[in-house]
Amino acid sequence: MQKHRDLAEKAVAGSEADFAELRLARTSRTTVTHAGLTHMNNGPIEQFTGTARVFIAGKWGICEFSSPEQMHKALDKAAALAIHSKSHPVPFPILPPACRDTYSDDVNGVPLADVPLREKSFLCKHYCELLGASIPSGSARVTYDEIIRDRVIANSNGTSVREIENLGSMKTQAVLPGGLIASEELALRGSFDRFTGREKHIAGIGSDLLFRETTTCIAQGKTRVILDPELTGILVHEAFGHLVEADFLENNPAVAHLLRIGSTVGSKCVNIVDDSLQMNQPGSMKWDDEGSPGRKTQLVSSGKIINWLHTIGTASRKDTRPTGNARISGPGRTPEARMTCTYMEPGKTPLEKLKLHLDDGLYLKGFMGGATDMDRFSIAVQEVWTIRNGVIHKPVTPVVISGRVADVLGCIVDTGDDLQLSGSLSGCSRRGSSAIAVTYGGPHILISEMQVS
Amino acid sequence: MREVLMTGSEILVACEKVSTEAEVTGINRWYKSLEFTPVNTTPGSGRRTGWGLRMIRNGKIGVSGEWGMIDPFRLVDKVIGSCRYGPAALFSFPEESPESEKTITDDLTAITHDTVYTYLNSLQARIKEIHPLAALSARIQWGKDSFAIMNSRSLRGSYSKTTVLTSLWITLPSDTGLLQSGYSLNTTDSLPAMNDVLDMLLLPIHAERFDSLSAAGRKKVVFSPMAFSLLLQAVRAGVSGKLLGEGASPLAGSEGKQVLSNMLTIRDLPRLNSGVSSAPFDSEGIPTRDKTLFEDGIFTGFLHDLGSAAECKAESTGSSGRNLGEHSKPVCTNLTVDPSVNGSVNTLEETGSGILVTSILSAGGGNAASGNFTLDCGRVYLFRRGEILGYYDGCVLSGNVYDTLSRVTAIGSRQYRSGTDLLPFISLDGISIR
Repeated sequence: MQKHRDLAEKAVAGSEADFAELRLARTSRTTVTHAGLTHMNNGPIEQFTGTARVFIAGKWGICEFSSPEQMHKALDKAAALAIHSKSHPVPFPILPPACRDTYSDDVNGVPLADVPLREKSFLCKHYCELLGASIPSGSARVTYDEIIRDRVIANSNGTSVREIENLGSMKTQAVLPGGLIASEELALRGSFDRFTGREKHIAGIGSDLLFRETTTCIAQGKTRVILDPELTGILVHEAFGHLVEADFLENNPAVAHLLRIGSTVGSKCVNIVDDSLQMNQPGSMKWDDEGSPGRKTQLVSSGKIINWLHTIGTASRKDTRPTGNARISGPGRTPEARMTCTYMEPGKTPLEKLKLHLDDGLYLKGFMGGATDMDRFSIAVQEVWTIRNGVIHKPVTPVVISGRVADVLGCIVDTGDDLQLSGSLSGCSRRGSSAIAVTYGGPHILISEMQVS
Repeated sequence: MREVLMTGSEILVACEKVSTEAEVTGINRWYKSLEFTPVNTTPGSGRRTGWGLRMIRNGKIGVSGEWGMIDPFRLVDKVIGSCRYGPAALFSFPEESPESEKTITDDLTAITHDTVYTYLNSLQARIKEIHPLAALSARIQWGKDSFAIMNSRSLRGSYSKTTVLTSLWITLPSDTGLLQSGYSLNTTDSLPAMNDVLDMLLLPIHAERFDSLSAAGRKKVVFSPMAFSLLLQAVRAGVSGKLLGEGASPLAGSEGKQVLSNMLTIRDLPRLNSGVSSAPFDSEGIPTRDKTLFEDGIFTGFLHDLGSAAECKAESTGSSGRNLGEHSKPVCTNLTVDPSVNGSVNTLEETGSGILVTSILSAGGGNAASGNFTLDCGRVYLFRRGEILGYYDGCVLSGNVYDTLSRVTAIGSRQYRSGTDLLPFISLDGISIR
């Protein structure tokens, strides 16, 4: 890849466009699944992709190519597309200072790629058998997914960065005959070590699931709840994070006005950040897909919006600085302003005190699925427990929580002291775009009013 | 395509001494694209080539693939590794070459960025006539896909087709909140008909908010074609011979029996004219054929690839599908539901009272093995005597897809594209709503 990087640097330096950029990526993806007696591995599937992007006289052109020899031709093609584009001119992008650097996950332990397929296959089988044994009447599935990516971004401003990422994920799923599901994903960036030695935890998933089996339902309506850190993260990501992505906002002036800098979106205890430098998390990036350095961006401080997420293009149109959130959902695609590692900052209250503060209500734990539809969200919860007099009482059947973002963030009355991050290799998809790896999280939070169905 | 075929032959040669049988698939794709937003429009183009290798070695199947730069020996090496942990090979690769085919729409290959830009501007203008504050965003990609297959038993086949992949979404600020609507459809012959796009995109309706309790219980539910497509996910999984082979299909033993309402005829049409999943042969080189999966509600049979056919002692139905470098599995291609001869387009009038589901936020908690579903619909619309009265948010539908599809109230009189499907509106009775 270093050879291709050198070629890319020369190609963009020789471009006569106002701005030229080359993105190169070599990706290897392997999936191993074990379910019951079935074992399946797909890949490794290797992919080399290149994208040339050019800005001329206020217009962009973009061209995907599949071999390093084609990069000059692709730059020319992108330039021709920009020149002939009928688009309205946009301002010149705001570029971060030129940077030439390399970062590799390989230095932080045993790289995923160095672990033989044999070992990954064995681990899936081993965990699946353990999980299956703990729920004799149910079914178990364990899936290991791995993405090794070596990517280079070079531009005519003098930036040339290379980042080697080791992204891995292990999903475990247990289903009882009645349909009750326990599902979790451990996703990480870095070494394989964190996937091993989890026998006790895996066996516990099954026994917890059996303990939760119940037919007791709760009445739908508004109630007081405590969300666990994963659900807090999902709420932050789905219900709030997508709304401060600047490319979405610039297309929707009415929404942009509602979510303008300085406006209040939550109670005083709500502080939200996007931090792409959590380098052991799948959503992290040392540099984004435009070569802007990753950073920690405070999005909400004491309930007020103080930043949006920006690319170099949206930053120039808002006359601000890029935040290092440009991410592509595939080769040949324009970078979009997307989240990386987004979480609510912890407060000072221990969980036990939050429960006492709640008194009577629900403890909601684990994420089963969900989505946001503009300012509305809907999240399927995996585990639901009633709390009586500040003490966990009994499990009830899973529920869906929903609402409008401003209503819910405004009803957060206290935040726990226990920040936890979760993530997924394909955790975030936006309309018209493919899924990308993200991290989300927060502490336990107490919400005074939440619609539960 | 010549380059793909030549490299494919090299890969087969590299496999000769290390495999019992080998099969190479090659894909060559070129496209143009336009990303369109109210602020910025970016024209694009691209080309991509990839090779997949599947091999039988020591009685097991291994797979791998490469996009972009290819090294035949590296690819073979990876597949040898994959064979060690692959499934048992219960079949041989086919010998008989399928007919090769070219489905190239010249009009489509001639479309320029300017044409698409003009099309989207006109669409935006028509949307703004109805909703002045609506913002349209879109990505349209059009081009040509060529596919080739060859194996060590002398099978050779190839085809090419044009494709148009369209993703459109609008946002509408309103007094009752922000509305978003999306529509994705894929065809092979032309840009989507603008009236169809408007029908689908403008389904969300400005209406009064209702107390959520008024909609709970069991009600008649009308699904738009896009929502219906998601409901059919469980049926797609259920008709798969792979699930049957694993002993997990809810349709096992149901062949020839009435499973769904007699108003429903569901087909899988890999030969559908302008269907983007249409192909003369499947990803194992077996010729495809159109199949009726449910005839007047009677289940007619499973879809099989070579693997599931061997496991179930059946024959391949030419239904193998896979991404490059992955194992084959039986899949639906262009799924269609026959429209009704009489009746309205959206079935609201025939249904009388109930709720209209225009989109589904997520389908978490579904279980393909049982057909159980939980659909998180976000905003749904309540109607009475065929008229929309209002909406409420946070609606969750649950039930069993086979049970639900046995209680059809009405089927719309015309089909719309949704992704690769061709579906009408459908009205179903007795779905549990929370």
